[in-house]
Amino acid sequence: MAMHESIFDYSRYRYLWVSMVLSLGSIVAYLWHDPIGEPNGGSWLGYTLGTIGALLILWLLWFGIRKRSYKSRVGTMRGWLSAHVYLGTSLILIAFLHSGFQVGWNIHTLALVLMLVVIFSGFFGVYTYVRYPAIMTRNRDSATRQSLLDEIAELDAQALQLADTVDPKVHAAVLRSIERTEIGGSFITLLRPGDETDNALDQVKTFMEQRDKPAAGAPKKDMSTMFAMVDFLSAGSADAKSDALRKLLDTLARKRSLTDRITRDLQVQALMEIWLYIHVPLSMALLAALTAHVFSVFFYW
Amino acid sequence: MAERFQIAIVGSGPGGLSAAAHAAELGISHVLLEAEPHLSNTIYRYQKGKHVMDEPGILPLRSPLEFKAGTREAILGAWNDGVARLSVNVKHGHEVSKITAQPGGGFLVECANKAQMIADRVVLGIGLQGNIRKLGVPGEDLPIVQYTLDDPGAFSGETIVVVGAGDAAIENALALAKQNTVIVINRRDEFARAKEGNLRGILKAIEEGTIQCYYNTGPEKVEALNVGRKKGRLVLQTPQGRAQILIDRIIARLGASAPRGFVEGCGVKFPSKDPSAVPAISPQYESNVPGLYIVGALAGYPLIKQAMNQGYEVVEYILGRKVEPADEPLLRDRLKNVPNFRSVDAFIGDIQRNVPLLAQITPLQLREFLLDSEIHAPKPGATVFAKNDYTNTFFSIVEGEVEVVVDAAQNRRIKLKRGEFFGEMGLISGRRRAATVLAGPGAILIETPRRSMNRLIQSVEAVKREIDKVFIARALQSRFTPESPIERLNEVVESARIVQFKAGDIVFNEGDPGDCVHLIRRGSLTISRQIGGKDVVLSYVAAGNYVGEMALLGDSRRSATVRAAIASETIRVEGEAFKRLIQRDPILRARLQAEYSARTASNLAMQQMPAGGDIISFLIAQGAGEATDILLIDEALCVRCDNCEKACAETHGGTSRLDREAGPTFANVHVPTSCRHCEHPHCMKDCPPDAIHRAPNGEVYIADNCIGCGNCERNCPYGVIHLAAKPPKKPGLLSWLMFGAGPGPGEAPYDPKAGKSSEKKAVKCDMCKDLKGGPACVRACPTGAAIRIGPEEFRAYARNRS
Amino acid sequence: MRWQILRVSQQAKGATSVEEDIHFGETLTIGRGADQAIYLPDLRAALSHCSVTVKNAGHYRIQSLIVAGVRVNGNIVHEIDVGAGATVELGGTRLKFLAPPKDFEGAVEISAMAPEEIAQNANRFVGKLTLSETRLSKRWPSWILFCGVALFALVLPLLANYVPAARPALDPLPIGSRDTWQAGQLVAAHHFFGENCNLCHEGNFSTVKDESCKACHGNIGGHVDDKRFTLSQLGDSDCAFCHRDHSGIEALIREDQELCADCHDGLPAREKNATPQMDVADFSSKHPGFVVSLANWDTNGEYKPTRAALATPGIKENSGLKFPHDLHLAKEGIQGPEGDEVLQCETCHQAEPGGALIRPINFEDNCQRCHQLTYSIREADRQVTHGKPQLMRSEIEEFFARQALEGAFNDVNAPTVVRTRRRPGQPITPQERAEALSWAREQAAQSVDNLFNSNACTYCHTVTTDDLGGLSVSPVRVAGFWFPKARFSHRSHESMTCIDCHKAETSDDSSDVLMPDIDNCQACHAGEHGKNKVPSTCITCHGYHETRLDLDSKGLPELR
Repeated sequence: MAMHESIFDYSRYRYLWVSMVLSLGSIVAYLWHDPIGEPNGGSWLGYTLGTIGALLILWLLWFGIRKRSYKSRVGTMRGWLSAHVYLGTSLILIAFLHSGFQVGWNIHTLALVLMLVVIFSGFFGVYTYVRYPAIMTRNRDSATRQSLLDEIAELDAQALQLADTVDPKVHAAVLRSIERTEIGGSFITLLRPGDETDNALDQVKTFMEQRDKPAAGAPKKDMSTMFAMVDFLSAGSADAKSDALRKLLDTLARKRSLTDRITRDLQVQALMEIWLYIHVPLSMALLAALTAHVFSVFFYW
Repeated sequence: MAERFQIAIVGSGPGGLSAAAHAAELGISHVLLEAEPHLSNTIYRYQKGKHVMDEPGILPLRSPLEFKAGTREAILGAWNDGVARLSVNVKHGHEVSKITAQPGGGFLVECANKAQMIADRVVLGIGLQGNIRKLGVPGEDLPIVQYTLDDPGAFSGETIVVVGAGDAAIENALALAKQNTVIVINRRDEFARAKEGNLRGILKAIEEGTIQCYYNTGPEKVEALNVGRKKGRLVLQTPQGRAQILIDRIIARLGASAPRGFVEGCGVKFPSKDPSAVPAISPQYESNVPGLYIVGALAGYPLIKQAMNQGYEVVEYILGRKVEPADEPLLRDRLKNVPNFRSVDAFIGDIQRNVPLLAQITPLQLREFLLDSEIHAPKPGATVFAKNDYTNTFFSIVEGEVEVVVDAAQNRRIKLKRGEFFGEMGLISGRRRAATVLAGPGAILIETPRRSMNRLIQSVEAVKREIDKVFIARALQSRFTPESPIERLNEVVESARIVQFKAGDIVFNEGDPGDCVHLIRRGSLTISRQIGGKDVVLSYVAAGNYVGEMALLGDSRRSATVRAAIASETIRVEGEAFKRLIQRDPILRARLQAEYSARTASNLAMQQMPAGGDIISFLIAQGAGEATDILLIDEALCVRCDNCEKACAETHGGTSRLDREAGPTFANVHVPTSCRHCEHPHCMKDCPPDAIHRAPNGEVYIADNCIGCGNCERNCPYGVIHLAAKPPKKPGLLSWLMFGAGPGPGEAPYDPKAGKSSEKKAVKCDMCKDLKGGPACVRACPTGAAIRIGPEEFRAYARNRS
Repeated sequence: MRWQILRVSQQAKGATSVEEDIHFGETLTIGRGADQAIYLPDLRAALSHCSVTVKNAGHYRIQSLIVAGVRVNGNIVHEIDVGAGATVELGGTRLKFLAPPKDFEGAVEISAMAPEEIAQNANRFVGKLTLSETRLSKRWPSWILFCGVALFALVLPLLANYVPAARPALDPLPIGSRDTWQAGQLVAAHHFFGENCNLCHEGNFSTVKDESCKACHGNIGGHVDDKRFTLSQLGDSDCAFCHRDHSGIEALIREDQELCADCHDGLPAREKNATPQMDVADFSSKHPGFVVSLANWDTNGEYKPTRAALATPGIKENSGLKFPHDLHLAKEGIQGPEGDEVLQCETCHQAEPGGALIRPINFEDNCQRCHQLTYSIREADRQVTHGKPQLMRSEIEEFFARQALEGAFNDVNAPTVVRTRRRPGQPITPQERAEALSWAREQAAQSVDNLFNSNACTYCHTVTTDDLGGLSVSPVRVAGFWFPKARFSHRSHESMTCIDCHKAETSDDSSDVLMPDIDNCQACHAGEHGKNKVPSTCITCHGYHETRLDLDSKGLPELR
């Protein structure tokens, strides 16, 4: 019976066991082995672990290819990712045992460091994969992103219509807020979405001050439509139109909650992808470093 | 006195046209009557540049007019040239309204425009499309009045009146309203005939005022204006009285008048009430009215090439010549492996003698039938089909016998003799084969694809009756008393009858007296119970199983409510008869008891966790009820990498057949837009080249002979089929990976121009039946979020999820 | 002021129609209000959205009348001066300001945007939605990092390897130098050339060759007698086999006993006893007893020391010397020139400078103080030179001759001539001389005999007299090098006393061999893996490179 298995419990933790056996095996070997002088990559165990590690790294790198060779029948992606995660983790140990915990200012340690960064960025990836999907679903509430965007556009139109029935000033303010709305953009804005909601608080503060001295004229540049609205209310000429105004406020509130949802959605997705922008380039660097490491060791044998 | 012709051909479709052309070629006096100002209206109304295919490729073309796959324009052009070259006597604008046989032989042909003529023979080539209904008011033929709309984008800033309340009208109106002022004229007070989506769309538009609508209103007259900004004026009859609007153009979508009435008016008989039925005709295409011939779609030959061939042949027949039908060599080839095969006709004779079921149909239909079918002469002992195969073809035994393995364990078999048939279960229930069938000595079998069989069932009432009768008997036996002879069941079978349910219909209610058992013959049911005022789904029962036995065995009242999850058919067995059967048959009783307690247990289990029930009803709501295999995504695991879509695109020529994001989600279970491989695929309903098939493992796929007509796309309620052109070759993966050459995996085609190539074919999920190891989408899911499951797994799935 | 206003409207199939009308007024107001000069029935426009004034022919000033501003040439502004050709987008409408035609001051063309354009603008607010759309990329950073690392970790060092000219520039670099290829620190001694890898490494994937080592360490011999057989016959025994560099400042030499045991364990068996080598694997568990070299002379007096296992029963050393250790080390003391004194081992056996070995004993330093070689009572402090019998004899004869010839020798038994004192210059007659000398000869003979045979020499030596009366002292030979094939340092055993190992107090005969056997060492020392004893590998005592040490005729190690 097909069931959703996460990458962890894939086929009853097969690869967890594999990597555990591998790790324990190397630990035992390392403890049992008594090399000439300090333990290092030059002993037979060192060479063995080194070979294992190098092959592991190459295999882990191959994941990038396998992931995209969709016709491949070599295992399922789930299996591959599961193995990728578990064996990748055990690589930390193997690498250290291989080096005999020696570090120094040399390319060998460079390779080690790169490897560690890659692996740990991978850990972050796993974390996001475990944490965010559910959040994203909840946030999406089974609406597609496009539908949300469309709704925003629709709300804009409504808001304009309502604002028009209220007051030119309000209309202008609404126009302005529409012009200012910005969903997504650069990767920074994706990861740290605009603080629309964050500074809502200061807006309310500003509004408080404003109400103390209603003399204050048209909204200044950093006051949101929300503020303009309330400002208008406080002006007290709302009686007839206050109904439309309520609607307008609702619409704008709705729009805000929508924008928040979308930006959150984008942010979560971005978080689930961003780590790859470290993971992948650094693993390429690792490939180079590894080559240099192996080459240099045997070139000057 | 009306002009007299030897042959009058009605309708300038492929059939009529090629008949007329052949007549002209032979210099026979003839007339081709066409209602429209142009030839073959149906094809003429294809959208611009549409690629027209020439299936079936194997069939040779015999017609003075040339025809090969190409764009609509090219084909129409070729035909016009041909007609001009052969100086065919075409009369445009002649819509034939009546054909009456003359006492002295020959026919009187009367046209809507009062024209009359006498013809010795009449060939009907009017197709099924029928004639477009016109406004039926003065000015209906003004250039500002049009009855089709190729490209809504072509108009902007105009005032356009759309007449009609059907889907076509609504779709046009909505499309035009984007950049035009659109007014809809609806003769009735609601949009009754419209699809759900269209209905919502138009009402919203009307409410928002983007479209203005006159209800209960009809046009009175149309006038062209040559002063002022607007091109014309439309006068309306509204409930409030007369009104007039200044307009730029009128688009009337009033549908077409089905030809059947007219044809019957000519005295031609139809075998059944079924709308898809076609008149019975002789091998010479002659209807039951002597001298009145029928060719083309109306004769049951929807494909252009067939129709053209018939046009040629019918003229030959009229001249009393003997033509070997175009399909003769094909049939001969098809039959060549039949032992001691003499001739096609002889074989057809055998069939009609041996197989009562097929004796009902005309030799011509039989030829067609054979052309669709496969003829097998398997060695004794060879497997015809195996239990749990997903094939749904229908077998008739022409010679010899076969053995049905009822119970593999005890190796109990039933013999089926010459003239009997089998495979009807898979055909009707759309589910896996219920038993293995082995060939017996000297067996000669006809294997008929689902579609042709259904066509037959619908057009020949007797066939339907026969098959149903046998089905009921066998279904009941195989389900209830496989070990005892079928005669035992006679009483039950007598009492049984077939009941249809629409989706959501109640089969019986909790608390009703239990007076019958339902054996599900197609579709599926849900069992639910009122718990705390809430309707909790306890279980889901797929076709081939039964419900209602509980009340008969134990407490006499229904313990739960049973609804049809989708449009379903059940075999209703009278409770009394069934009870007696149980008493007679202890084994059956024991088995029922066992299943009964099992079901009660699982129901109780379900009640413990209503969430599971919610998931089931959610899945049912998503049409999982009629699915045989559905793609589910656990959104708690899905990381939105879209690798599933990419995998699909990459393994299927660059276009993804699934849309991960679209589709609803409930309790983290997401049903993406992708094929469910329905038990009775909607897409198969109306496929001219019969290109949609079900593979042995249940995959519903589209074969290469698709002509890109888009019927399946329209018929699929889940929107999982679309037309796509073959994208160009991509550069290798590595060159993309390293240098970003070309589009990445699953990305849009490299060369946008190639994407536009008009030769589009329908594409849909084929569950990667050609790839070992199962669907690429599931295999490519890195986090294990995507799985595919069948309905029988729903219960376990739901329990596991809740 | 006259404005020309052109309204362009799209007809079907791309056809357009233009209506012209004229507006009089200083400013051209644009908005949704009915009072506006240009009236746009579009909610995206404010009632009075913006105003345009002509600055000079073909130049306009556009002012937004609302906070939202107005979109001119694609970006939102509040006030801007533009030339002809500027476009203002308001909702679904585009206003294009043109150069005014003749007798107009301003001209504007109003057209509706294409639907798809409007749609586009509608979601202008939607930016890039996924990272892949942004400037972020995985590809080029990968390339940069890959190439960068490859350059510094691989290419530059290789360059330095192949282009010596580049080394001065490259080798000192903190990154990109071949130094960064070193996995571990070089041994101290190699630091001075450490930067030049090629001194040891050829850089062609081959291991370090012995030649590279021999360039400096040429004078170090092989394992055993090179003349007999060469190292290569010992299997994989190149320098690198034992000497591994790049593993710390002083871990260069391989010391594990397996190194030797590999060959020496069961060697005799393998060699069918063709070799004098013994079967050794571990000091405590598998090591033969000690073998000493004993002094020995062949028939024609050639010194040929013999090797004998200490374990051999009744093993004797014939050093030709009589010396009872017990007597000398007696607790109650032994009689010395100034009465009794207690001797220690150190009294005679003194360490050489450095302390590794013990100085050889010699008569003058160690014995003569007590054992004096006097021969005349009258002159008691007069002694003969030790060790040269002929010289001793003549010394004595000369002594007595001089006495006799000088005269005035008061001894009643002596002849007169010896006793009489003469005046200076008074000659001696030949008869007197003969008489005196014969007396002297007699005296000398007497004391020589006395010295050699009765008391002094025979005390320690064996003296033989040939038939002619010629005396000879049998030669003395102490086995100077007991263990020519092992290294032992008394210095590192200073914590112990001599008698802990050398049983001297109980030895009453100098023929006793006082060298301790292996069990004595094993009391404290064990093999490499010895648990609660001093772990000692083979090369703790034996040297790998020391070629065979034989003793020359003088009993000194032959240096090769």
